[in-house]
Amino acid sequence: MKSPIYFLLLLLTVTTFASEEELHTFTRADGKTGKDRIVKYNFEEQIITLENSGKIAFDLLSEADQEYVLHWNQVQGFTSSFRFKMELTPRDWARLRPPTLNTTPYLLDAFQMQGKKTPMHLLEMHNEYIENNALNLRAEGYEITIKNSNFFPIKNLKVESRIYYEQEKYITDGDIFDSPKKLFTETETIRKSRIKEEALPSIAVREEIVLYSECAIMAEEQLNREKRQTNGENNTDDSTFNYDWDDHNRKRRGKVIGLWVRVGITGLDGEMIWREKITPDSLKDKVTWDGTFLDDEKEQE
Amino acid sequence: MEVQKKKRRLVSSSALLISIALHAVLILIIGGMVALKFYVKSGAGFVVEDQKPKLERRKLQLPVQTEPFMEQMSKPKRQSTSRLTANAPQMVNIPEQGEYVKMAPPPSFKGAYTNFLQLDRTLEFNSKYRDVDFGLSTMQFFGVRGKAEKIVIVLDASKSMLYDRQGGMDSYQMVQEDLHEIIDGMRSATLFNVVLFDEDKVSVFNPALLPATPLAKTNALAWVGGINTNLIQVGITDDMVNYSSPKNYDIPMAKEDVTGWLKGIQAAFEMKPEIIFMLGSDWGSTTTLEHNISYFKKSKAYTTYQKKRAQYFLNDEERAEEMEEYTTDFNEFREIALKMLELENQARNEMSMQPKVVQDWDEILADNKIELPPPPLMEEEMYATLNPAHTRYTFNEILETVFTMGMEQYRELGFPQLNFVLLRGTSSGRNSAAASSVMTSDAKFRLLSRMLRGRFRYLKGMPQIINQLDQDESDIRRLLEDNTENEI
Repeated sequence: MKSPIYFLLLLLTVTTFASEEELHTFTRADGKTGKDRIVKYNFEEQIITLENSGKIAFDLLSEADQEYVLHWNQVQGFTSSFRFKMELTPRDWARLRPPTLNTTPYLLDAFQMQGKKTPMHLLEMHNEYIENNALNLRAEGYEITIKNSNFFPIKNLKVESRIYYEQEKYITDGDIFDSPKKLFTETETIRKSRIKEEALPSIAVREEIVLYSECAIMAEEQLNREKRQTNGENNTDDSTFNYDWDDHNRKRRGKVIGLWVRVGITGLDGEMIWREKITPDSLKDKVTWDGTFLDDEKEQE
Repeated sequence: MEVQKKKRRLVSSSALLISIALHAVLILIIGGMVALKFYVKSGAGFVVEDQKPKLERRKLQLPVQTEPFMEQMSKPKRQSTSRLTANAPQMVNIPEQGEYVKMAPPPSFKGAYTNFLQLDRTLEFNSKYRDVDFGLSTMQFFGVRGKAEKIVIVLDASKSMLYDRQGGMDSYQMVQEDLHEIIDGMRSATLFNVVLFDEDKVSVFNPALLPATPLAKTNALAWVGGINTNLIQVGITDDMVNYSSPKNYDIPMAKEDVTGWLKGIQAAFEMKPEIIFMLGSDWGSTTTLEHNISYFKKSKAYTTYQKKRAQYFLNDEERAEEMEEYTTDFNEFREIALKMLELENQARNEMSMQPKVVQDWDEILADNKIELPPPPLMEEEMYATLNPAHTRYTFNEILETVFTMGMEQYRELGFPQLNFVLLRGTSSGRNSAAASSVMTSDAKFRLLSRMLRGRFRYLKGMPQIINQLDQDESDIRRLLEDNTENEI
């Protein structure tokens, strides 16, 4: 019972939107003119249905009007969520995962003497400690699938995608030595976004095109230092330096937050008409299209 | 009885008819539903192309002929949508001549190949999922095998390839001869390029990959062959430098610190080959003579550190004295080393040999078993404020740099194959316990190539050039003293 009501409502909405379009002055090939609005354009039969004047053959219109009709048709085909679809799929493009390295921490002092090109070095191995270092580098992005189910090609599209991601960074870089534990283990999160803009001259009839977003490159790193154990006993400490690194373990991570894609076509008024696709849906509450993170903005305020 | 039988027959036949009718109605309903479903899915009014153009497999991957492409761009076919005037020329990607590899986006196809864009898309498509082998070249790069259509060779042209311990000029000539064979063996449809690096200088044979035609191969070999032919002009000359990165990468390294093979690889990445072969001698911008440790220096931090370190010794009288004593010793040893080099080169000259090529003057001291005294050490607590570890990049930071530089170029294509060959003289080198801590060039390259599923090999150079003279420290000291007396 409800469906006819919904259908009527839908029809009413469509009609309302349609009526919002400005009237266009059509000129026929024989010179007659009239203001009207396009209701439908049958691409196959080349027949245009006008709101007031009814049906008219495409060829009977002036060249400028034919171009207008084709442009109108492009916009209609592009804005139809049924006939012009976008899909976003997350992809893992590459990973670099070195084996966990168990090394001996060392102090390497470099000393530059005048008259010598290469620095002189003093090396001291901290044999009483073992350093376990794990790194995982990831390059992730999205596949942007655009499908044109219209029975005419859609031309001159602009595709913009912005990937949002975050990466933790150590506050203290490099080696640790005597750095206080708090500074050594602490990380700060850096939020980043990268935009990719490209032009699609045409998408053919029933063509599915796969484009790609920018790449989010993230690092996951973990560093543990512990005293070397030999038969349950600690090694003798023969180092000049006597640091306690047992609690100097640290790690940092990175992750993709989401993708914001917008595909645009020039509208009848010359302004761009954009269609957007965002994943996850909650991304819109966190970021803006220009790459601002709303949380960061609030914090700054 | 007959009437009853007739009645039964009538009943059963009518039941049969009803049953058939019911089945027919059901079939119609179900058929209708299926048809309706199919009708909805396919979409009303969609045009099914009767004859899809039969795709020809592209066998040859050559630069896109841009002229016809551009012509088609400017003159779209009228029969479809030529009457549409919403064309925005600024939105059209017109590839530059020879810049086909930069023609992102590289969309892959699932649907029909119906528009003229198929040319360049297929190109990109084939580069990843190659199914023809017309342009494939099997390479044997100093023991590392690889097969690809797009190849870049990155070659160290620095002085470090000419060190006596690496076999000197003869080793480099051997490299060039082998390179001749490698480049000569490429198929003409293979796209290739050669990149030379020398510290922060990088020179690229051609701005983009180019087909390995006989002319291109001859030119490339002539270009490489002109490098390091004599010791008066070693490495890349300033006028040869033709590469500087067009973009700022989001990497842990400062742009000015990306030097040596890293910069060479960066130039190679930007051409997007499938395989990169690198032949070098050292990992980092600094390689220690004492322990063979190699690392990339953080130049700014290093300069600051050295200033502070010098200040540390100047601030205290005792320490300043210690440093002064050391500097006197150091200068004496420097004088000895320079004299030794002079005498050695004189002897070599008499034998019509090339002069000695060393990393630094103290190398000849080590050759003659003389140890340069170690510089004074800072006190333990000073390392907390003056941390030498902050003057160099960690191995992880270099890995992140390589990965980022690669993936910013390759993205969905994945990381390319990266192979490393390290020139090594016949001398065993002076590896120490440092090797076990992943600090030497060998250990780092080996690890990196393993991570990238590439290969790592040593290129055994010519035998180490043995010194003509066996020199003694006391003799040289005496000689220097005599010279000073004579001068007085």
